[in-house]
Amino acid sequence: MISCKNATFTYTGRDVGIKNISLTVDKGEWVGIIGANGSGKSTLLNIISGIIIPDSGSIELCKQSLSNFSKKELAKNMSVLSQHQQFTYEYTVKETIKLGRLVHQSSLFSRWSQEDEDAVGRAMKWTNTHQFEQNLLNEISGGERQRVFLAQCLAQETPCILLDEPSNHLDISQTIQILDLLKKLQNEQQKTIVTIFHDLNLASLFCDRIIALKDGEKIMDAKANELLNEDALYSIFQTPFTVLNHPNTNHKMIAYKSNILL
Amino acid sequence: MLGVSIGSTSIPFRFVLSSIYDQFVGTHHTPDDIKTIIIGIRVPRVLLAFLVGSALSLAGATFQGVLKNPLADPFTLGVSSGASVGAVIVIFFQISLPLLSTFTLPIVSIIAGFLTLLFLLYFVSKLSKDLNVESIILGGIIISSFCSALLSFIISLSNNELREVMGWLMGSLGSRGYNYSLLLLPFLIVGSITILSVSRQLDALTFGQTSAQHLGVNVKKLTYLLLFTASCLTGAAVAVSGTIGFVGLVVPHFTRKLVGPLHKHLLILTMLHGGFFLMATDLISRTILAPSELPVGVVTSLIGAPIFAIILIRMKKGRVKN
Repeated sequence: MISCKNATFTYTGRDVGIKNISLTVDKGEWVGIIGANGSGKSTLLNIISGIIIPDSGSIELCKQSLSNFSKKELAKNMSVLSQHQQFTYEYTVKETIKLGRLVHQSSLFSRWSQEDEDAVGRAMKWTNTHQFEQNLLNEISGGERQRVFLAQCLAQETPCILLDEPSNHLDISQTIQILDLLKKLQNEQQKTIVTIFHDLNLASLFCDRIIALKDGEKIMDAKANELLNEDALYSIFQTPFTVLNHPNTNHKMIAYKSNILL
Repeated sequence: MLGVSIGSTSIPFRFVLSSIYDQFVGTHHTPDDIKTIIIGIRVPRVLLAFLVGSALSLAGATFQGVLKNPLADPFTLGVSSGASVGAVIVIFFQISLPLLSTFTLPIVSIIAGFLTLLFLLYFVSKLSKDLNVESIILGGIIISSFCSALLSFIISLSNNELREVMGWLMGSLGSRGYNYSLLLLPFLIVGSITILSVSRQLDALTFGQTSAQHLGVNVKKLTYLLLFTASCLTGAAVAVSGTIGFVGLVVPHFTRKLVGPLHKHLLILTMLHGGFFLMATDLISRTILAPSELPVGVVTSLIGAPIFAIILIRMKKGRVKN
C-alpha cells in the first residue's frame, strides 16, 4: 500500500531530518514508528503524507508515485492526525469534523449530502464526540479536542490512516478506547494504519510491526515481539528496560528501570 | 434611505421616494433641484458607500481567514497604502494605459496592492518562519509608513490640488458619480463569487496549512487565489474612494461574533454589514460637522483603531491563559 525507497531529507541549516529510509506498509497492516525525540519520526510521517517532499528517494502509494496524486486524490486515500492541532477561530465541534468530508465534495460551492451527514454521524459516535458537538473548540478539553480531530480523520473515510501520537492528551481509558476502535477498523475494513508511538507497551499491543528510528536512520524493522528485547531497546533509547510477557496475551511488554531505585 | 435623506440639505423621505420613482418612470412629481440632489449626488454616494464597504469587508474577512490573523485587514496589512501609491501615481502623471482606458486606475491600484502584499509576506517570512500575527501587523505598519512617505513625496512634487488629494487619501465618497460604482461593481461581483465558491476550503485553511493539505486542499493555489482576489477588491475600492481604514477589520470581527466563523455565512453577512457600516459612517462623516465634511476614513479609523486595540489585548490574554 505504502512504500518508501531511500528517502532522505535534510532541514536547511539544521541537523538531518531522515537518512536513506526505506519501508513498506501492506494493506490492512498496522505499523508503529518508535524512537527518541528528534529521531525523525514526525519527519518520516510528513514525508509519507506528502507534506514534506524528500530531497531524494521516492514514495509510492498503491504502486503510484506520490507526486502523481493531486492534493485531493491524496487526501481521499490518506487521512492524517497531526501531533499539534492549531485553530484560530472558534468553530463548533461538528463544523470541525465536517471538514473531513471536504475531500468527497466538489471543489466549488461544495454541497452537503446525506452520505456526508452519515459519515460524520458515525465518526462522532465512534469517538464519543456527539455529546458536545455544538460546543466550540476552545470550550472543550485537550483530550476531547484530540478526539474531535480524530473524528475528522475518520469522517474522511480513507483506506490509510496516519496518526502522530494519537494518545496525546488522552487519559488511559480514552487511549484504549481509541486504539481499540482503530483495531476494529483495521480488522473489519482492512484499514492501513501508521502510528507514531511514545508508549512502547501500546505499540507492542496494537501494532503488527514496529519500525525504530535513531538519528534519522531506520535501525530496526521487525514484528513487535522480536523488537521488544532488552538489547534492541537499549540501542534505540540508550536506556535500560526489563522486557516481560503480558500476562493475558502473548505480547511482550516493558518495565522501566531506575538508576536510583534498585 | 436615511443616508439619501440627510445631508447638508435635509430632504424629507417622501421626496426621496418620489424622485427615484420619477427617475425610473419618467414623471415629474418632485421639484427639479431636489431631484438633482437625490439622483445626482445622494444616491450615487450611498450606493458607492455600500459597495466600497462590502468590498473592503469581504477583503478583510478573506485576509483574516487566509492569514489566520484576526487583526488582518487591507489597511493594517498595508495593501490599501500600496494601492493608493499606485492610484496617486496614475492620477498625478495622468497615465492611461492602452486598452484599459478608465480601468487604468483600478488595475494599477490592484497590481500595486498585490505587489505590496507579496512584498509584505516575503518580508515577514524573513522575520519569522510561521507568519505569526504580530510580525505581519508590524510589517504592515512599516509598509504603510513607507507608502505614506512616498505619497507625501509625490504630492509635494506638484503642489497644486494638495487639499483635494489629502481628502482623497483619508478616504472620501463624496462627489463621485455612478461611474465610480460601475468601476467597482465588476470587481466586487467576480471577487465575491470567487471567494464564496471556495468558502469551505477557506474554513479548512484556518486550521493551518498542514491540516488543510491533509484535508485535500491545494494550499498554495488556494492561498494565492484568495490573496489575489482580496487584493483586487482592495485595489478597486481604493481606486474609487481612497484609503478607508479598519472597515475590513471591524466588520468581519463583529460578524464572526454574531454568526460564528463558518465562512459560508460569514462572508455573505460581512458584505452586507460592511455595506451598511460604511453607509452609516459616511452619514456621520457628512452630518457631524455640517455644512463642512469630515473624510469618512477619519470616522472609520476613530471607531476602528480602539477596536483593533481591544482585539489585540483579548488575543494576548487568551494566549496567556492557554
